[in-house]
Amino acid sequence: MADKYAEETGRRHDLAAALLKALFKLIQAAKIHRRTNSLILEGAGQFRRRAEELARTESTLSIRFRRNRIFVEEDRLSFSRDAARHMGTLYRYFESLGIQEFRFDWGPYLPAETADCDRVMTLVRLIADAEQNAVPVDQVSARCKEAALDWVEIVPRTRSQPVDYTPERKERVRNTYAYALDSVQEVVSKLSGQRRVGINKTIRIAQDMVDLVMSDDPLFMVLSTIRTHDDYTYHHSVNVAILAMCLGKRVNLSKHSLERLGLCGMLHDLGKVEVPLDILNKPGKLTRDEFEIMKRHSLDSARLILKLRAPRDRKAKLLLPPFEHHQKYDLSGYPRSKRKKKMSFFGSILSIVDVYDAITSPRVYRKTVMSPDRALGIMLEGMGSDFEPILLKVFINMLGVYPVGTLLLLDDGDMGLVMEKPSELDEERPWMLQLIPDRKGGFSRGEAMNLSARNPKTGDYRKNIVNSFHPSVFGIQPADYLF
Amino acid sequence: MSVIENEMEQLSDADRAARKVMTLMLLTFKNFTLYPENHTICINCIRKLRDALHDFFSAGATFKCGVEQDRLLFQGEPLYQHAGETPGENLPGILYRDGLRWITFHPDIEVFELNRFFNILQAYRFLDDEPEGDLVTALWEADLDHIGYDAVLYWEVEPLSRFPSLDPVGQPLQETRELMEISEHQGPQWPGEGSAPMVLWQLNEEEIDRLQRMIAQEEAWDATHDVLNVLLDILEEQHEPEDFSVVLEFLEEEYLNGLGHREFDFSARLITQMERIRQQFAMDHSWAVAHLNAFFQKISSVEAAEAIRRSLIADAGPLSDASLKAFKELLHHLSPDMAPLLAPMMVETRSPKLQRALMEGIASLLNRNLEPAERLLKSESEALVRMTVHILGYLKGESVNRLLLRMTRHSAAGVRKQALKSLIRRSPDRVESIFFLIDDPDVSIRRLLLNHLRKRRLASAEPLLVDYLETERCVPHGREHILACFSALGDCASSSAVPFLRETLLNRLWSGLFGGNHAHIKEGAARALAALNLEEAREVLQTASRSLAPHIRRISRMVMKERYGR
Repeated sequence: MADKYAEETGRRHDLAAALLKALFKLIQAAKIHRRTNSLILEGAGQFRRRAEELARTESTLSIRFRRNRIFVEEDRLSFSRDAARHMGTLYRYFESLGIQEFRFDWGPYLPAETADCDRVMTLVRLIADAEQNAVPVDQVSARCKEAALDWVEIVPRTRSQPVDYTPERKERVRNTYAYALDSVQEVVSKLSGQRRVGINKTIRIAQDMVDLVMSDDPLFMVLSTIRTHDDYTYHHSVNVAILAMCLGKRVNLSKHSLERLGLCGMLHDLGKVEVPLDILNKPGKLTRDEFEIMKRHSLDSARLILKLRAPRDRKAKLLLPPFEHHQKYDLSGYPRSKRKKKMSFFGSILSIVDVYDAITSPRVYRKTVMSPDRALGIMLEGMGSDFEPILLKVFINMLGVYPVGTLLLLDDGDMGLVMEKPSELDEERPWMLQLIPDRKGGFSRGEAMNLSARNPKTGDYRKNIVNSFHPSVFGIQPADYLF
Repeated sequence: MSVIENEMEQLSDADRAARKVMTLMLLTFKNFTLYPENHTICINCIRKLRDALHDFFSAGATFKCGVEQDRLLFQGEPLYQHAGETPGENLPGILYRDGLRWITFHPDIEVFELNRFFNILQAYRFLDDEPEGDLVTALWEADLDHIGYDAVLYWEVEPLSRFPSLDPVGQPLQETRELMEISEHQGPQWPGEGSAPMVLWQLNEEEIDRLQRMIAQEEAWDATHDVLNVLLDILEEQHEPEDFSVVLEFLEEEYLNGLGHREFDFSARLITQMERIRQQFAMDHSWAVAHLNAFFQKISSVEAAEAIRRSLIADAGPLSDASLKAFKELLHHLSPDMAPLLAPMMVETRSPKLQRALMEGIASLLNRNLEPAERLLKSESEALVRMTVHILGYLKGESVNRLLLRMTRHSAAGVRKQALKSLIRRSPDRVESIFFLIDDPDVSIRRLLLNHLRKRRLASAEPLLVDYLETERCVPHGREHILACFSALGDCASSSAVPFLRETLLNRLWSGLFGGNHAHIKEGAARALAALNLEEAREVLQTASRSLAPHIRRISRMVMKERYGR
């Protein structure tokens, strides 16, 4: 089913991109050619053909421009690196006009076969007028209606874009996190009660998470920023699963592999159930003996996986990555193994995301917490010794220079949370959700800021990042604001 | 017909088509509970359902079926209401139980997809308290292109209305300028800002290529060998009997799985490593030895033998040389108790290579303990007993001799003959115990023994043969046997036999009861004398050639001419 869905989505994306290109070319051509010019006629014909093809499956189409990305319906339009430059031009053009969305309804458009050139050209003229500021963009839609263009709606961008996920989508993502947390807790509590425990629920959740990660939902990544002082291990396990699955998706693992990777993430710290709490939460440095006990947990995770009520084959495939998650690329780390074989692929992924989540998590016994970008900087130093170099690069690439949830301070005194990493269209800077201190130690949400925005006269960035922090330093839970 | 009437007609058609689909779905579900999937009834049912769906799709729609506790819906209207109380028969209930809320069948759906769908329904009709999967996880894994579904998570979880609150690690922030102040006291950032060289973490072509290879390896990863290493690492670190047992139990499962998949090198390596661990634990953790012994028993159990049989005999694909070598290696590590379990495979297999490997392996096992051989020799399968006797022939020890001797009296000629062959090969000079086979009803056994006796001078055989001939016990078997006995005597005897042969040739009256054999006995004696190749034997023959009795004279001259050319 997923393949079929992906195939249909891919087709729709290709057609939508082609439609957008045709419209853009028409607008450019209309600036220098008459309506009867063959380029204009050909462009109008292309627009119509794309519309016809799109209408075969859906009668309406939404193309949105949001935070350096183009969305077709709810799905983000993805394209190759080569195509990114061209699509970037398109994005910036429509963004500069203040257009947030095109909504097409092919029903009223398609039957009028004889007049399609006129109708498209009316739309083109209106957009070109907007470019010349002859018509404010927020009036273009009204003008469309006046011109009987009932098949298109142009939605202008509001000054401050809210995080505009539907409540249902947010609830689904939020629920998935809650269920994942619950399933890890259940497994741990049953194991600590010496009971055999099935992982059916954990598998269901892992599959649900795969469906989310396959839809490339940035909200899913936001979940991995959730931090807590209590129940650290449970949250850490779910966060590791999320980050691992996102990294797995990034390298195009199959959905079945992503499911296994997610399960490995959720179960990787099972062994901590056998570490005494006074050691687990000990403030300060562990003694040598305590550290030896602590070091057993990855081996115990693998042993406890054996106790799960699951088919042998499934358990066999879950054992290795949790066992390896504290080993290092150069085969140091723990547990020491007699075999001298390089770490498994999933073990390498877990070791990266485990360290990242751990060092960016506040702990009761630790006074400092590293900001996500600094954490990545430190991890970069371990590339090739502690971490598998290619996967670490992909991980950093995935998170961006400033990972989602990083607290940024700007040179004009604004501060906020990174909402999404920069897109392929503008690889430099992310969007930031402004946070406004309320003088009581709390914050309120401000506007979404595009940190890539430049001053048109000087070409300089309008805002510059002065510093970054881990949000928990100030008691900020990014998910509270980004959801 | 008005547009509305036309639409009504179409709706009615769609409704009829939907009802037909539903009826066939229920029927197929029921038939899958009664018959195996490859039964004609199931096959026909699936085809009819596919056809009904295609009829439905001809209107261009997807068949979307809503699921409620006891009802299945189409376009919001109930198409089926379950009335019975048997849970395993309540299709809506089974679907609803695991959280399914609707199912869709899409155009172009194929028979195999429907088949898989109904198989999944069967597999998860009933669930345990702690199931190892459910309908939804199975459908997700099956990933059927033309069957869609929507499912909810069916268990209660506290909703995450708020994310966990977080106390500041530092001081709560009152003003953003405080951040500025903090920044002034912090070190430089990592290369993220402004001119950050993205090239640092961009993959080059070679890295992309390596990444692709790593992914391909991962997707095709066979956990078996890596898992063994991990399990052994874990096992060696265990100090609690219960934990130790958990790991051992999994190792047993892995071992059996390895056998079932012809991963004999894995299984052999596992045993070798476990033997090492047994030695290691015997010194420091005596409590573990009993567990380890139980493990070794288990890996030589009926279950293990059955796994081997399934992979070698039932799935009778050719075995690679490497696998065969690994299998032979594995057999050496098994318990001798496995011999009776493995031995029938020698008979079952059609592969000479595998048969040989099994024989070598079983020989190695019986060499360590002969007791299982006793059981094998009592088998009703003649072929099995014969092969066991063949194997025993290569083992050392007096006990083996005793078993072989016992087998020389087996009711089956093939077994007796094999036992005789084995005994001859093992102790060519010890003929007393096997000499009785000279009277075996099977001619090939008699011939085998006599041929053996003829090979060289054999002092132990001489008196036996002389006695056998003197007492005329050879006579009932006829001329050929009589001549063969004398020839054997001639080949194996010494000058001590000359008086008997002289007496037999010249004087003895072989008239007796078997007058017809008289000439054969004289001929045999003459030939034996010639074979002795002794001067005194030659003299006897010369004397006989001048005998007044024409038949003695004729026989002697004929033999001398054959032997000496005159």
